[in-house]
Amino acid sequence: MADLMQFVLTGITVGLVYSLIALGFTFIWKSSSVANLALGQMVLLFSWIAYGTMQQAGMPFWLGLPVTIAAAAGIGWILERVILRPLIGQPILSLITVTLGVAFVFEGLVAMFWPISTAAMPDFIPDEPVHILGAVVSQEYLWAAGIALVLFIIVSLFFRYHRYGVAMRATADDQMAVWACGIPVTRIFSVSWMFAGALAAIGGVLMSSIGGITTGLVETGLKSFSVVILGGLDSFLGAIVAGPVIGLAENVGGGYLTDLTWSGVKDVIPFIIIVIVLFIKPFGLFGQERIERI
Amino acid sequence: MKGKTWFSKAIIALVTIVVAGLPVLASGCGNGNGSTTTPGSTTDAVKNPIKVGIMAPYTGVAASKGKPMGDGVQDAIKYINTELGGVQGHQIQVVFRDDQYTAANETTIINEFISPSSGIVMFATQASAEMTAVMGIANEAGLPGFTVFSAPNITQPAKHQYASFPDYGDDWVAFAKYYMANIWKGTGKPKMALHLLNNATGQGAKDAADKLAASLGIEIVAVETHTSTTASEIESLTRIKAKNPDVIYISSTPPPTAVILKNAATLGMTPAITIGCGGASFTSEMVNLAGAAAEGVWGIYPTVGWGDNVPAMAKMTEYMTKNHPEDANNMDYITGWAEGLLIAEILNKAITNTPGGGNALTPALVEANGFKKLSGFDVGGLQGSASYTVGDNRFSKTVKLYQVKTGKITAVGSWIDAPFIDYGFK
Repeated sequence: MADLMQFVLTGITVGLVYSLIALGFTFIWKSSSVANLALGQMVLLFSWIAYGTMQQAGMPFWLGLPVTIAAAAGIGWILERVILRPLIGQPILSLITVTLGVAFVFEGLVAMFWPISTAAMPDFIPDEPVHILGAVVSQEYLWAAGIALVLFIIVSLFFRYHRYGVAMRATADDQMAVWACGIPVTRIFSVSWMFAGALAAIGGVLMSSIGGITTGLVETGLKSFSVVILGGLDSFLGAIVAGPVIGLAENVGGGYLTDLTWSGVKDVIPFIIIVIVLFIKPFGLFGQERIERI
Repeated sequence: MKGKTWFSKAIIALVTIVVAGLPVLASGCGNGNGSTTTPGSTTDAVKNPIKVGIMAPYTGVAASKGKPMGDGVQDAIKYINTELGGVQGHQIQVVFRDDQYTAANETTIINEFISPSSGIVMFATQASAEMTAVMGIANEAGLPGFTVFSAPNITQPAKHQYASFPDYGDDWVAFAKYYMANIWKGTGKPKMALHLLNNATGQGAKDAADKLAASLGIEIVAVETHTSTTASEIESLTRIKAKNPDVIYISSTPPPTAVILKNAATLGMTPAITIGCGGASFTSEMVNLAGAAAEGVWGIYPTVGWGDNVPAMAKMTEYMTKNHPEDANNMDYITGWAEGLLIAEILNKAITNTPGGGNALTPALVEANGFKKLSGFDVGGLQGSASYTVGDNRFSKTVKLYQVKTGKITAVGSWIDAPFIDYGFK
């Protein structure tokens, strides 16, 4: 029973870490229908910027984090303004392909400015683990999970009630129609990329506090794609639910099936679940179903 | 207008001829060493550069090791070329490739290396996973190479691929023997859990444990694998904890090792449970990432540490400080520098033992007259002396034991012999 609680709590907290990254992807998709393939590299780059502000420039955490988030938002704005804006109105595949190019540029920037390849994020989370119902959880995972939930609530409310949020949803639906209605699509795009940058920065800082700043962050970013696909590309609720589903599948499934099968089975289980779910619900657990007349 | 077009075409043609002719002019005027041939000298006197292929996971998930190693080997070759004038007057021309630790890239690169047009006479990899991915192609092509970090499957059965020093299996044996002799104070057999990276790095340690654990009096109670990008190993450690191990052995790379150490500390498994690491795990990067969780962890490593009093230390430190200060205190840089010295010595032997010298070298001659003629080369004191022994393709045959003490990797004792283990691989 204690083991089960350990697996469940670990699964939920680790899963919410994936959700945290996935929110950034969903944000962009929901506001512009662009699949941001540079997500993992954004997480990596902004983690290094956080390292630069807090470790190299010696800023305290309370100052370094806002500076990092501001820098990430700024980079998001530049990205949209310089690279993506010229492609407004173009086929969506062009936009998606460009994000792939951006991913390589970001990796290059990291290699250029931080040749050390690996670093530890300065400690800002207490080391002491927390005991919950007989299970032990590191505070790093708890903080990440808690912040993921808070951000989920914020972005959900933003998209539902804020005029910019509503405009973003409309823009994602039909750019040209929204433009014709006088809504500044270019500004909507800028704001959405700035938000996505900020989310990636927060996710990166929290992920780095767990395992350090390594190129593995890119892979973690990619892992969040599976969360997005399972939850539904355009659903914040999907991202926040699918993360723990994958986390639980990894940890509970791995916890009980490894001895019966092989070590490493935990890495396969989530994808089996994703395939099964997509057979039943092709748009993900909470994704909006689009029915097109042909 | 017509005249203008004709003039433009003429200019373009002239420029094209000049540009295309530059390499021809250059090859006629120089020898590739930045100096020119003196008039009247014969081509026999021209010492051609010798091409060596080097691949490293310079970026990607194993960059924490590949980057300092790549820096080290390139700095060492730079030192040999600039300060020693190359090897017997031949510059070493490095074809350096970043494979990002992916089999697809490694396969592409080895196909470039084996191509006759490449002119490459030998190659080197940094990681066992890299060499595992490419050795089939390299062996078939007869291109000799060596890997710095190695696994038993690479050198057994002995073909055209070699290893700088003892492999991950040897690391496990060295640690297990030390643990039994100096750490284990209980009665009966100690229980050991293995936590292994899901590639040759982990498999090498498992091969040794499968073969020798029982004879050493160790009971293996759990074998867990992890990926190089793992974010949590709480689940696997929870299952390990249930089996009450006395010792956990990790054979991995620094980032996942750090995650395992931090998770083990979270679960309260350390310091009660002893933790030992193989050479690929055990670097300053691992200590930086794991922080306090690394304290007291044991590790096997194949080289001396920074600041040790050995012949190569001063020059290596000078180059590291000048070119890659970010690699300070990173022992993987040392393995890379030693790799450069080994490449130079292999070529030195090959040139000496080959009729026609450096200009006549081929991959087969480099292997026969270089690799297989290594004898008692001390590698600047950085690792155990390197020799070729028939049937044993590991050059050095010793490792060292270290422990993290107050955040520093500290040597414990001197060199430990790593005798050949026949795994019976076919």
